[in-house]
Amino acid sequence: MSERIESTITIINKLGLHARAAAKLVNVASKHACDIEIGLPERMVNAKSIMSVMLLAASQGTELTLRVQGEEAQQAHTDVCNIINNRFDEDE
Amino acid sequence: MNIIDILTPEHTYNSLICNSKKRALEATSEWLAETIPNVDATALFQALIGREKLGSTGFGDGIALPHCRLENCEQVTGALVKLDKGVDFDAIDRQPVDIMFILLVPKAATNEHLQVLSTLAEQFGKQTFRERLRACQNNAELFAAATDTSL
Repeated sequence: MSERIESTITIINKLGLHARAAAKLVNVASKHACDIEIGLPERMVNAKSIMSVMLLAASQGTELTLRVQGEEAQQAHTDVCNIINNRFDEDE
Repeated sequence: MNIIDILTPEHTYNSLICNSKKRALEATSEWLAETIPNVDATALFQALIGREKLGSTGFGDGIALPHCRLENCEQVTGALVKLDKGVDFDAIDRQPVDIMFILLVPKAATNEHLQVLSTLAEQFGKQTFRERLRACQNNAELFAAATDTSL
């Protein structure tokens, strides 16, 4: 059962997608078998690669596109959105 | 932003002999503290190790980007250290690390920090770049390769 979900999501934590936040995002994404890409429309990257996610230099307020395709895409999409919306468990 | 904006020849070291992650960070802290004003070796080592405890900066393919924010650090300062052999770094891909790019970041510089990480990720993410660094035989060659934007 293959699904494809695409949405936009805003980075809300103060420090943006710095290394540790990127690592947490990759960690969540890597738990899923489906393809997960994140980025800007002109530069989508593999959300399971920390080097790729850090390339985005996404600061607070940056609106990113999230694209999930494949097995259990809905769950993967929800999990990735949650870690971003929870500010990667950071205080601000 | 390019690597040359944050790296100098004196902060480039081609072959550090060490046998552990802890020792690699400790030796690097001592070496950096000699040339950076107001930075204490012990405090730097504690900050770098403290960051590693939150999650390894071994980001795969033998590369680590140890970094920390420092109160009395005035500008983003980088240092490139190649180890004489790979050491266990608890890396994300479980592979040993043999190249470290250390970043000292001022407390406030959030967006600049993201730009620096992006540049480093772009360069170190390339296999050709990593291979070129590994082939270097001395500090000068390593500095030249690291700052060559054509790679």
